[in-house]
Amino acid sequence: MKTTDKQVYVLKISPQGQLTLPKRLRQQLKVDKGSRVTIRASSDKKQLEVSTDLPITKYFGTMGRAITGGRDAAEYIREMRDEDNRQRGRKLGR
Amino acid sequence: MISYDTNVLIYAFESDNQWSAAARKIVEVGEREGAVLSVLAWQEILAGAALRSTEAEAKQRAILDQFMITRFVPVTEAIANKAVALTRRFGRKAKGYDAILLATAIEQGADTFWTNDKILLELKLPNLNIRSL
Repeated sequence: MKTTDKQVYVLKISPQGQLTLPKRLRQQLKVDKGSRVTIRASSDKKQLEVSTDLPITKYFGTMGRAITGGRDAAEYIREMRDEDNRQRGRKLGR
Repeated sequence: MISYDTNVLIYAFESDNQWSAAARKIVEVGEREGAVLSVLAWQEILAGAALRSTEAEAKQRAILDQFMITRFVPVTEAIANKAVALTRRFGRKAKGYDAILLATAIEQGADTFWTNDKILLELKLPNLNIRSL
Protein backbone atom coordinates (compact mmCIF):
# COMPACT_ATOMS: atom_id res chain seq x y z
CA MET A 1 0.00 0.00 0.00
CA LYS A 2 1.30 3.47 -0.87
CA THR A 3 -0.17 6.72 0.31
CA THR A 4 0.40 10.28 -0.77
CA ASP A 5 -0.44 13.61 0.81
CA LYS A 6 -3.57 13.68 -1.29
CA GLN A 7 -4.85 10.69 0.61
CA VAL A 8 -4.81 8.46 -2.40
CA TYR A 9 -4.45 4.81 -1.50
CA VAL A 10 -3.19 2.17 -3.88
CA LEU A 11 -4.59 -1.16 -2.79
CA LYS A 12 -4.05 -4.68 -4.00
CA ILE A 13 -7.00 -6.94 -4.68
CA SER A 14 -6.69 -10.32 -2.96
CA PRO A 15 -7.13 -13.60 -4.87
CA GLN A 16 -10.69 -13.66 -3.48
CA GLY A 17 -11.37 -10.26 -5.05
CA GLN A 18 -11.32 -8.44 -1.72
CA LEU A 19 -9.90 -5.05 -0.85
CA THR A 20 -8.73 -4.16 2.63
CA LEU A 21 -9.18 -0.56 3.65
CA PRO A 22 -6.11 0.60 5.58
CA LYS A 23 -6.66 1.24 9.28
CA ARG A 24 -5.98 4.97 8.88
CA LEU A 25 -8.62 5.25 6.20
CA ARG A 26 -11.12 3.23 8.24
CA GLN A 27 -10.56 5.60 11.13
CA GLN A 28 -11.03 8.63 8.92
CA LEU A 29 -14.19 7.25 7.41
CA LYS A 30 -15.38 6.07 10.83
CA VAL A 31 -16.12 2.60 9.56
CA ASP A 32 -15.32 -0.72 11.15
CA LYS A 33 -16.13 -4.41 10.83
CA GLY A 34 -19.70 -4.78 9.53
CA SER A 35 -20.01 -1.21 8.29
CA ARG A 36 -21.31 -0.72 4.79
CA VAL A 37 -19.68 1.57 2.28
CA THR A 38 -20.80 2.52 -1.19
CA ILE A 39 -18.39 2.10 -4.08
CA ARG A 40 -19.38 3.86 -7.25
CA ALA A 41 -17.59 3.44 -10.58
CA SER A 42 -17.08 6.51 -12.73
CA SER A 43 -18.72 6.52 -16.14
CA ASP A 44 -15.42 5.68 -17.84
CA LYS A 45 -14.93 2.82 -15.30
CA LYS A 46 -11.47 4.10 -14.42
CA GLN A 47 -12.21 5.52 -10.99
CA LEU A 48 -13.92 4.18 -7.90
CA GLU A 49 -15.43 6.51 -5.35
CA VAL A 50 -15.79 5.12 -1.84
CA SER A 51 -18.37 6.76 0.34
CA THR A 52 -20.04 6.15 3.67
CA ASP A 53 -23.06 8.13 2.51
CA LEU A 54 -25.94 6.17 1.08
CA PRO A 55 -26.75 7.32 -2.47
CA ILE A 56 -30.46 7.35 -1.75
CA THR A 57 -30.13 9.96 1.00
CA LYS A 58 -29.14 12.60 -1.56
CA TYR A 59 -32.64 12.40 -3.00
CA PHE A 60 -34.61 12.85 0.19
CA GLY A 61 -36.97 15.78 -0.22
CA THR A 62 -36.20 16.27 -3.90
CA MET A 63 -39.63 15.33 -5.31
CA GLY A 64 -41.35 18.46 -4.02
CA ARG A 65 -45.06 17.73 -4.27
CA ALA A 66 -44.72 15.84 -7.52
CA ILE A 67 -46.38 12.64 -6.32
CA THR A 68 -49.27 13.62 -4.10
CA GLY A 69 -49.75 17.25 -5.11
CA GLY A 70 -49.24 18.26 -1.49
CA ARG A 71 -51.68 15.84 0.07
CA ASP A 72 -50.84 13.53 2.93
CA ALA A 73 -49.13 10.46 1.45
CA ALA A 74 -51.01 7.90 3.54
CA GLU A 75 -54.40 9.37 2.59
CA TYR A 76 -53.36 9.70 -1.04
CA ILE A 77 -52.24 6.07 -1.32
CA ARG A 78 -55.33 4.87 0.55
CA GLU A 79 -57.56 6.62 -1.99
CA MET A 80 -55.60 5.15 -4.91
CA ARG A 81 -55.97 1.64 -3.51
CA ASP A 82 -59.66 2.04 -2.74
CA GLU A 83 -60.24 3.38 -6.24
CA ASP A 84 -58.41 0.37 -7.73
CA ASN A 85 -60.54 -1.97 -5.65
CA ARG A 86 -63.75 -0.21 -6.72
CA GLN A 87 -62.80 -0.38 -10.40
CA ARG A 88 -61.94 -4.06 -10.07
CA GLY A 89 -65.29 -4.63 -8.38
CA ARG A 90 -67.13 -2.84 -11.21
CA LYS A 91 -65.38 -4.98 -13.81
CA LEU A 92 -66.49 -8.06 -11.92
CA GLY A 93 -70.03 -6.66 -11.79
CA ARG A 94 -70.08 -6.32 -7.99
CA MET B 1 -35.11 -6.78 8.40
CA ILE B 2 -37.81 -4.21 7.87
CA SER B 3 -40.51 -3.52 5.36
CA TYR B 4 -42.53 -0.40 4.78
CA ASP B 5 -45.47 1.02 2.92
CA THR B 6 -45.50 3.25 -0.16
CA ASN B 7 -46.52 6.21 1.98
CA VAL B 8 -43.17 6.01 3.80
CA LEU B 9 -41.33 6.26 0.49
CA ILE B 10 -43.37 9.30 -0.47
CA TYR B 11 -42.85 11.02 2.88
CA ALA B 12 -39.10 10.51 2.43
CA PHE B 13 -38.84 11.85 -1.11
CA GLU B 14 -41.41 14.64 -1.13
CA SER B 15 -40.63 18.03 0.38
CA ASP B 16 -40.45 18.37 4.13
CA ASN B 17 -43.55 17.47 6.10
CA GLN B 18 -44.22 16.31 9.62
CA TRP B 19 -43.33 12.70 8.73
CA SER B 20 -40.22 13.33 6.59
CA ALA B 21 -37.59 12.87 9.27
CA ALA B 22 -39.04 9.60 10.56
CA ALA B 23 -39.61 8.26 7.04
CA ARG B 24 -36.07 9.13 5.93
CA LYS B 25 -34.65 7.38 8.97
CA ILE B 26 -36.60 4.22 8.10
CA VAL B 27 -35.51 4.29 4.46
CA GLU B 28 -31.91 4.81 5.60
CA VAL B 29 -32.06 1.94 8.10
CA GLY B 30 -33.43 -0.23 5.31
CA GLU B 31 -30.52 0.70 3.08
CA ARG B 32 -27.99 -0.09 5.79
CA GLU B 33 -29.50 -3.20 7.36
CA GLY B 34 -31.86 -4.55 4.73
CA ALA B 35 -35.42 -3.82 3.70
CA VAL B 36 -37.87 -5.70 1.58
CA LEU B 37 -40.80 -4.10 -0.22
CA SER B 38 -43.29 -5.39 -2.71
CA VAL B 39 -42.71 -4.38 -6.29
CA LEU B 40 -46.21 -2.93 -5.99
CA ALA B 41 -44.81 -0.16 -3.77
CA TRP B 42 -42.36 0.62 -6.57
CA GLN B 43 -45.29 0.65 -9.01
CA GLU B 44 -47.47 2.82 -6.76
CA ILE B 45 -44.94 5.58 -6.26
CA LEU B 46 -44.13 5.65 -9.98
CA ALA B 47 -47.81 5.64 -10.88
CA GLY B 48 -48.37 8.60 -8.55
CA ALA B 49 -45.56 10.49 -10.28
CA ALA B 50 -46.76 9.42 -13.75
CA LEU B 51 -50.19 10.87 -13.04
CA ARG B 52 -48.52 14.25 -12.43
CA SER B 53 -46.07 14.39 -15.34
CA THR B 54 -43.66 12.34 -17.40
CA GLU B 55 -40.82 14.40 -15.93
CA ALA B 56 -41.88 13.50 -12.40
CA GLU B 57 -42.05 9.85 -13.35
CA ALA B 58 -38.58 9.92 -14.92
CA LYS B 59 -37.14 11.67 -11.89
CA GLN B 60 -38.74 9.23 -9.48
CA ARG B 61 -37.56 6.28 -11.56
CA ALA B 62 -33.99 7.58 -11.40
CA ILE B 63 -34.31 7.95 -7.64
CA LEU B 64 -35.56 4.38 -7.18
CA ASP B 65 -32.52 3.19 -9.14
CA GLN B 66 -30.35 4.53 -6.32
CA PHE B 67 -31.51 1.88 -3.86
CA MET B 68 -28.67 -0.54 -3.18
CA ILE B 69 -29.79 -2.83 -0.38
CA THR B 70 -33.54 -2.35 -0.31
CA ARG B 71 -35.23 -4.98 -2.45
CA PHE B 72 -38.48 -4.70 -4.39
CA VAL B 73 -39.82 -8.24 -4.54
CA PRO B 74 -42.10 -9.55 -7.31
CA VAL B 75 -45.44 -11.09 -6.41
CA THR B 76 -44.83 -14.82 -6.26
CA GLU B 77 -47.42 -17.55 -5.85
CA ALA B 78 -46.38 -17.95 -2.20
CA ILE B 79 -46.89 -14.23 -1.58
CA ALA B 80 -50.24 -14.29 -3.37
CA ASN B 81 -51.38 -17.23 -1.26
CA LYS B 82 -50.29 -15.48 1.91
CA ALA B 83 -52.19 -12.39 0.79
CA VAL B 84 -55.32 -14.47 0.31
CA ALA B 85 -54.88 -15.88 3.80
CA LEU B 86 -54.67 -12.32 5.18
CA THR B 87 -57.86 -11.35 3.36
CA ARG B 88 -59.56 -14.48 4.68
CA ARG B 89 -58.56 -13.47 8.19
CA PHE B 90 -59.11 -9.71 8.12
CA GLY B 91 -61.66 -9.27 5.34
CA ARG B 92 -61.74 -5.91 3.57
CA LYS B 93 -59.08 -4.46 5.88
CA ALA B 94 -56.44 -6.58 4.15
CA LYS B 95 -57.14 -7.06 0.49
CA GLY B 96 -55.66 -6.06 -2.85
CA TYR B 97 -52.41 -4.08 -2.61
CA ASP B 98 -52.61 -3.96 1.19
CA ALA B 99 -52.60 -7.73 1.47
CA ILE B 100 -49.79 -8.14 -1.06
CA LEU B 101 -47.55 -5.61 0.69
CA LEU B 102 -48.04 -7.28 4.07
CA ALA B 103 -47.71 -10.78 2.62
CA THR B 104 -44.43 -9.78 0.94
CA ALA B 105 -43.06 -8.57 4.27
CA ILE B 106 -44.08 -11.79 6.03
CA GLU B 107 -42.92 -14.11 3.27
CA GLN B 108 -39.52 -12.39 3.07
CA GLY B 109 -38.97 -12.53 6.83
CA ALA B 110 -39.38 -8.88 7.80
CA ASP B 111 -40.16 -8.31 11.46
CA THR B 112 -41.59 -4.79 11.17
CA PHE B 113 -43.82 -3.08 8.64
CA TRP B 114 -43.90 0.73 8.82
CA THR B 115 -46.92 2.61 7.56
CA ASN B 116 -49.11 5.58 8.36
CA ASP B 117 -52.17 3.91 6.91
CA LYS B 118 -54.91 3.89 9.53
CA ILE B 119 -56.53 0.70 8.25
CA LEU B 120 -53.31 -1.30 8.19
CA LEU B 121 -52.37 -0.05 11.65
CA GLU B 122 -55.48 -1.73 13.04
CA LEU B 123 -54.21 -5.17 12.03
CA LYS B 124 -52.45 -7.40 14.54
CA LEU B 125 -50.18 -10.10 13.13
CA PRO B 126 -48.15 -12.60 15.15
CA ASN B 127 -44.93 -12.38 13.14
CA LEU B 128 -45.08 -8.85 11.81
CA ASN B 129 -45.16 -5.73 13.93
CA ILE B 130 -47.14 -3.07 12.05
CA ARG B 131 -46.00 0.34 13.28
CA SER B 132 -46.71 3.98 12.53
CA LEU B 133 -44.06 6.67 11.96
